[in-house]
Amino acid sequence: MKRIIISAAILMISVPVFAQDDVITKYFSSYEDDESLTKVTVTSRMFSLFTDIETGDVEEAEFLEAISKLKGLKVISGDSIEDGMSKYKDAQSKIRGKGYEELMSVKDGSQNFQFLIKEKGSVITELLMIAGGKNQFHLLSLYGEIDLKKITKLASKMKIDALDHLRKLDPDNKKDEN
Amino acid sequence: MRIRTGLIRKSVKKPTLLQKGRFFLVLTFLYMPGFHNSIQAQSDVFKSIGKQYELGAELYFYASTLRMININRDPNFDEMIEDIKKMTFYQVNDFPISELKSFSKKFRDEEGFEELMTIEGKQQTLYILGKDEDEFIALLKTDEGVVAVDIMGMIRIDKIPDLINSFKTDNFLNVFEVGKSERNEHGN
Repeated sequence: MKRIIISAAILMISVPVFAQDDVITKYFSSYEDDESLTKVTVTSRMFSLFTDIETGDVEEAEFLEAISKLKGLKVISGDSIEDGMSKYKDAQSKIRGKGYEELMSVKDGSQNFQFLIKEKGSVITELLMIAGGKNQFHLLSLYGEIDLKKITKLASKMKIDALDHLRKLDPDNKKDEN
Repeated sequence: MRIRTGLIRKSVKKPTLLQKGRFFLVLTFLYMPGFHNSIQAQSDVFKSIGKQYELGAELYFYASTLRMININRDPNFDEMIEDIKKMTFYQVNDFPISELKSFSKKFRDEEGFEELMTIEGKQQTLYILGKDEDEFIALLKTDEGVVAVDIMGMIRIDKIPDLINSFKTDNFLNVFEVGKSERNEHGN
């Protein structure tokens, strides 16, 4: 009985560590039927399959290991919508006070980007990106055990357009842009 | 939003005699009577799709025949398919896009597949499902309808979108156009 209680307690502690924040889940659900937006979901199973990939390249092996620790990715994205900025502000208001810490804000032309993280101890458990402009809106939530240094490479590996914005987190990329 | 192919679109060269020969060899294999019977039984969900909707094409490839459609000999493609045992394409005509989601769920509920990746949008709809680390199913909306791809064997998981997109480039035989012209010739 004691063992069961301990196991249940461990489960209760460990599940929220890598679960996507409830507010984000609700936010994605609310846009499920919005056909003007593209919705992307990548599951933990997909990320775990990266551990099966064999590579002789040390850098790629480190990257694959980092990827395999991710538990999920959700993206909502629209490139030609009418109310991009209002969606951006709405998303910001919904996550306010939900334990996210701002990592970086970028104003790139007419587009605004905000990168936020959630931490448990010294581990980043969720990376959230909100981007909005006149006709654009992107919301990206990546959760699991996140290594920010490695995660910028995810953009080129997954070949999903909205992930390109993650490159803004790469200091080397920033130097290239300037 | 779209998935971008990793393959670079090259200028299309006129097919050589050897390439034309390879083309007809692929056709012979694809349409050989009884050839499909040697392949493992079709999944119940695919059978259900076949019963409900008209199948525009049903094409089977092994790694050897997949290499043949790589007209411009793209080495990335050959590397990508080297551990694929078999790949089956089903093109389904008049398939409502709204049904794709329910068929994706059927594969999960009835055949033990797990969701790997989902993209739902105006421009692109794609479901990638996996089972036992060596079977993958992709259901996707194309300009000409719905395509279901069943991949048996190993493939780098991040290469599946590249593999699917590579069939849309001019570097490869458009197997669906091939199927269409063959059927038209036979008055179907």
